[in-house]
This record gives sequence, C-alpha cells and structure tokens, in this order.
Amino acid sequence: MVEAMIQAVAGSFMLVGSFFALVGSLGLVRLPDLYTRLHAGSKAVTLGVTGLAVGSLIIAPSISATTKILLALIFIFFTAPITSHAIGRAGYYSGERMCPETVKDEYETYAILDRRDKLLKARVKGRAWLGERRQREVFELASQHMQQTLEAVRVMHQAVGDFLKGNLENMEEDASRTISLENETDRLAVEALEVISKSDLSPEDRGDLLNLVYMVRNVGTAAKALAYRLELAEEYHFPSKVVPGLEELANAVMETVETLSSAVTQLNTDLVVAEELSDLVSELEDMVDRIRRDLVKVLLREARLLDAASFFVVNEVIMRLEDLADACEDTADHIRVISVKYLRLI
Amino acid sequence: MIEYFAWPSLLILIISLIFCFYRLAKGPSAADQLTAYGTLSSMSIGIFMLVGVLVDTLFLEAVIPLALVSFVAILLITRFLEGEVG
Repeated sequence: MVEAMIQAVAGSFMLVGSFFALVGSLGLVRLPDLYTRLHAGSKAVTLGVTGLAVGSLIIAPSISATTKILLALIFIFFTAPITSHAIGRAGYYSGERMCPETVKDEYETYAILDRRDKLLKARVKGRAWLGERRQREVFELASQHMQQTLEAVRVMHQAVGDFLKGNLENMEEDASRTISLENETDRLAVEALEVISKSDLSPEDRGDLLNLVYMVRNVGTAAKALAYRLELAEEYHFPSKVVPGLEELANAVMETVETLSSAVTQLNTDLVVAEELSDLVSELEDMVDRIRRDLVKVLLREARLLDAASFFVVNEVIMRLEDLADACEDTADHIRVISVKYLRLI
Repeated sequence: MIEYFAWPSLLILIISLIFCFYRLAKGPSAADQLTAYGTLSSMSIGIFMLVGVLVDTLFLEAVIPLALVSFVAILLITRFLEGEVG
C-alpha cells in the first residue's frame, strides 16, 4: 500500500514534468520569433526535466542511479540558462529580427556600444590617413577640435540631465558653461581652418580636412543651440511620462557624439576602424530617430496637460537633440567617404 | 502502479520530441535550430531518466554525457555564429 502511494507520487511528478515539456515544445513550434521560442524552449523544458528527474529519483532502484540522476539534474540546472543566453546573444548579433509586436529592444544601445568597445580594443594597426609629421600636426588640430566639441556636448548632456531633474540652477550654470566652451571651440575651429588652409597638404586632403572641421563645427553649433533653448527655460512644468524617453534620447545622442569622436581619432590611426565606427554612428542615429518618434507620440498624448511655453521648450529640446544627431551623421558620412577614398589608394 | 503514470508521460514526451524535430527541420535561422536542439537534448535526458528507472539502470549511463555534449556543442556553435571562431 505504502509502495503504491510512493509510486503514485513519483508518477504524478513524471506526468507533470512531461506536461511541462509538452507545453515548452508546443511553444517552440507556435511562438513567432527566436527570443520567445528560446523562452519556451529553455524555461518550460527545464522545469519539465526537473519534474521527470524528481519522479525518477523517488523510485530510483539503487544509490548509483540516484547519483547519476541528481548529477544530471544539477548539470542541466546550471547549463540551461548559459546555453539559452548564448543562443539569444548569437541570434541578436547575427541579426535575428524580433516579431512586429515587440514593444522595446533594450539591448540595442548596449549591442552597439559593445561593438564599439571591441573595435577600439582590436588594435589592428591599419593604414592612417595622413602620414608625414607636419601633416600629422595639422590633423592633430582638427582632432583636438573634435575633443573640445565632445567636452562641450558632455556639459550640455549634464544640463539636459539637470533640466529633467528640475534642477534649474545647475542647469543654467551648465548651459552657460556649454555656450562658453562652445565659443572657445569655435575659436579653435577658426584657428584650425587657418592652419589647414596655409598647410602644404595636397589640395584634396586639404579640402577633406576643411570639410571635416566644418562638419564637426555643425555638431558644436547644434549643442550650443540646445544650450540657448535651455537658458530660455524658466518656470515650466512637463509631464513626467516624457522624462524617461527624453533621458534615453539624450543618452543616445551622447553616445553618438562619443562614437563620432573616436571615429575622428581613428582616421589617423586606422582607416578601416574609422569606417566601421562611422557605420556605428549611423546606426546610433537611426536609433535616435526611433526614440524621438516614440517620444513625440507620448508628448502629443500629454499635450493637453501642458501650457504652450512648456510644450515649446520640451519640443525644442527634442528637436535640437535630433539636429545634433543629424550633424553627427553628416560627419560620419564624410569620414566614411574619406576612409573609402584613401583605402582605395593603397 | 507506476506503469499507469510512466507510460503515458513517455508518450507525451515523444509527442513533444516530434514538435522539437519540426522546429529543428524548419527553424528559419541557425539560432532557432540551436534552440530546438537544446530542447531536444534536455527532453531526451528526461526520457533516458524515465526509461532508466523503469527498464534498466544502464540507460542512466547516457544521461550525463548527453548533457555535456549538448552544452559544449551549443556554446561552440553560438561562438561560431557570433563570428569569433573561424
């Protein structure tokens, strides 16, 4: 009698386990994309195997059988998450699409930044753009200009962060610091343009370098425009639903500018890396566009609750951030042209 | 007593195996097939456990190697998909 009860308990565990396995494999067949299938295939089936193993453990005939089942169970418990993580990652990096119903892809930024870090760590010393020493000095000036622009954008990013936190005093300070930094950067740009024009580069190189400085200058100008808008803002309120989106937008723009600056630096280290980095800038810009579209939707939904002045400020901030990203993309396109052109010359 | 439970659950497991084979054959991408393979191997581990305690404990010898092989194979193939191995 007792034995029959034990067997019944074990059998129920087995039935429950196989039921979970069935659900998991049904999910594997029916679900729409890799990530959801992975979810069904790993979690449900692990649970199913656990049920089967517990059932088998209860009626295991010998100590050696118990040990083997227990070991296998522990092993599966440790490895199932690892393998499903690896598969999901591999699928993501090999361009697996999510189903259209997907609401949000949170990994996107991390994936792009991960690729950027890998690129920068790779240390393939390829071909540089300007080889000779005097030419290098001229390029250094353009690169320094980019670094200063990056610095100004960083301060601007802080100002936007203060704006979102409602930290008005800090915001004003940061905004005016952005403007003064940007004015200094502009002076540097003028100096760089002068030096480049007077330098003994070949006319083509000179034109490319001049254009590069002009375009980086556009980035700085966009940052300055945003800082002016922020200085305008005084007492206002904006819906808290906009805050996360706006924060995301500002972070994405910041990463775009960072990537752009490393692309400019790589121009005189490794043209191949510079080209790939400029591709990443374009991808980030696409992402900025998408974030902005969602954000505008939210903003319009909340618009009833806003007075005209607040709506104007928030909208302006969004637009200037997008301008900044667009300027970055223009520069990245130019960098791509330069690297393709000089890579072909080898 | 155990037979009334074990054989039906074995039947259910075999039906699920067929579903897995469907995804393994069809799966639009390699990652999908890998998912199906992982599911397939953990399910066959379950089947081996069941048969091991029902019929002959010799079946249990296959369980741990099966788990090991599927783990290593999946990790290797995913690294290949990410482009880190040849």
